[in-house]
Amino acid sequence: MKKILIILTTITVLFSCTEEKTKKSGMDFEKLKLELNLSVEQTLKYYEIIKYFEEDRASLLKDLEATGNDSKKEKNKLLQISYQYQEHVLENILNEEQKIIAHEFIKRYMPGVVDYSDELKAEVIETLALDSVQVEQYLAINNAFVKAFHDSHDKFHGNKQTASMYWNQYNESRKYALKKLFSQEQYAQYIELTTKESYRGQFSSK
Amino acid sequence: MSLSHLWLGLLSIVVLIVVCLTGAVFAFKNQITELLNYDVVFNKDKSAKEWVSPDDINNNFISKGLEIISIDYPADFKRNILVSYQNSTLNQKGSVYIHPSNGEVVGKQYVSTASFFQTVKALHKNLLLGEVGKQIVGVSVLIFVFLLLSGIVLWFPKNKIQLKNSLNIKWSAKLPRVIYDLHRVIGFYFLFPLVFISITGLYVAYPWMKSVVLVSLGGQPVLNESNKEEVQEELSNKFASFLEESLNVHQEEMAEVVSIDLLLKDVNQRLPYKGSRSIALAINDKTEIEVTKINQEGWLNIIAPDKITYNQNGEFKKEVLFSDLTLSDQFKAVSLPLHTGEILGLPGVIFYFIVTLIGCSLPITGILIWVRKL
Repeated sequence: MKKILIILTTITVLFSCTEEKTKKSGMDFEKLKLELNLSVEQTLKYYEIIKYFEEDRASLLKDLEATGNDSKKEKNKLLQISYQYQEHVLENILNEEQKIIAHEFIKRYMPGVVDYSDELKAEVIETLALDSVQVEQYLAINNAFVKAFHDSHDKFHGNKQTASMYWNQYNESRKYALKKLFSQEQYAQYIELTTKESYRGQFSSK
Repeated sequence: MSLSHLWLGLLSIVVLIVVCLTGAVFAFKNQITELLNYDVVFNKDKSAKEWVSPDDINNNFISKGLEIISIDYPADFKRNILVSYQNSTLNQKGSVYIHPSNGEVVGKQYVSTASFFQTVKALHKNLLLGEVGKQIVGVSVLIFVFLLLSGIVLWFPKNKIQLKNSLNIKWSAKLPRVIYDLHRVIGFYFLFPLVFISITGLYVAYPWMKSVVLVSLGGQPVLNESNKEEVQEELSNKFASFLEESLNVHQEEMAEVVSIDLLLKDVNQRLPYKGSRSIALAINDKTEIEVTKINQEGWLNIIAPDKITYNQNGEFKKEVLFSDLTLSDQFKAVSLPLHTGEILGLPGVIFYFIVTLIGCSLPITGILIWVRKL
């Protein structure tokens, strides 16, 4: 009995003292590298760019911290600008096909983006040929979606699975509102277009 | 009962000590940060009697090419005003303390404690082990609640003499007896605050605990697979109210200049008590001006935030008083300060600090009792 207790206590001690494996926060550029299928020459340049931007972001975050206003929202804004710039620099070493992969990857894992990308929203407006009244209402509906989701933050805070459930529930409300705003054909097009970013709202798999 | 008290206590001891110690340190985050930045946070000028107006602050920043994001007026003249601003051209943001009367810039926070407290917080929440650590902490705190409750069962005296012994520490006795008393007597006296802190902690970590607390306070549970139908209506209504708000914002014409002085005057009329005020302006993606005033004149001086919202033209939109919220919404609004003790201000933080240290001592005295029995 005593031995069992001692073993259990020791396991707890060891487990608790284990240092967290340095899981890098932010985008996994190793994963992107695999998707890009880079040549040897490209790989060298790729790592140079990644290293430069990772160091730059660390420095920018440190500066932000010094301002005393380093909320998650502010950090995300800073990171968004940095990732966009990084994508722009990466484009110089990639071919057209790789550029698309990199763009989709960075768009997908952009921090602080809970809703469909601005790019997709613009595509919806253009493809569905929305008139000015529809555009205004479409933007208001999206705005309501984001606000409602953020308003429920207290309920899903710290739990990705619950966050996904809230996202999907509010997305249903959004679709219902859009169904009334769009014609049948426009709504079908909207559903088709949003499948491009079907990963949105799946926080547990990010 | 005593066997499970022992086993579970041994199993969770290390985690509980880490969680209690880091909690005790984290409780003082604001006080430590302010103390390290004493020269800019606190106002040494005792002659200050009139507040600098928000319009004057705003004009001053505009003249420097800066846009104000928020202005935080403290409750009294012992502290400086905190102004957060941005420079849209350079895409820079910052915060600066200004004198409460003349509005002169005192300086920026010069010591950052963010990294240190982030690590302390991560240790407290997940032992720096990510999702696995979060579950270990969660289970350990659940065990802790069981230990506290089983402890009170084990403590329960059978007669008057035992009751007397169970309520006092016999300091004159030998060390093992003192340790035994420390474990039983202190555990009894601090049972309620320790259970309360544990449950508010579990509230943050587990959706099911959140649902239990909210439903028991008359609110709606957290959305899950089994209650989708039940919660759906509430969420649809919430979406509809935000949609109505968004549509109204799109229809509003923007006024040229909004006087924040008038808004603050209106706030002071609507909320005629002394308290700190935070003004968040309609800037960037924000479409409303929000003024939050902290009311500490109620029961136990608890920190109760009242919020008044104006549209971007300065027209009154809504008033959300803490006292008007339902019990579950009140709990939601202050769940974090309830867990940290900040709800009661500095006395609350100090009390929680003592409670968490006691919480830390219980597994230690418990193990000392067990070791002696081996």
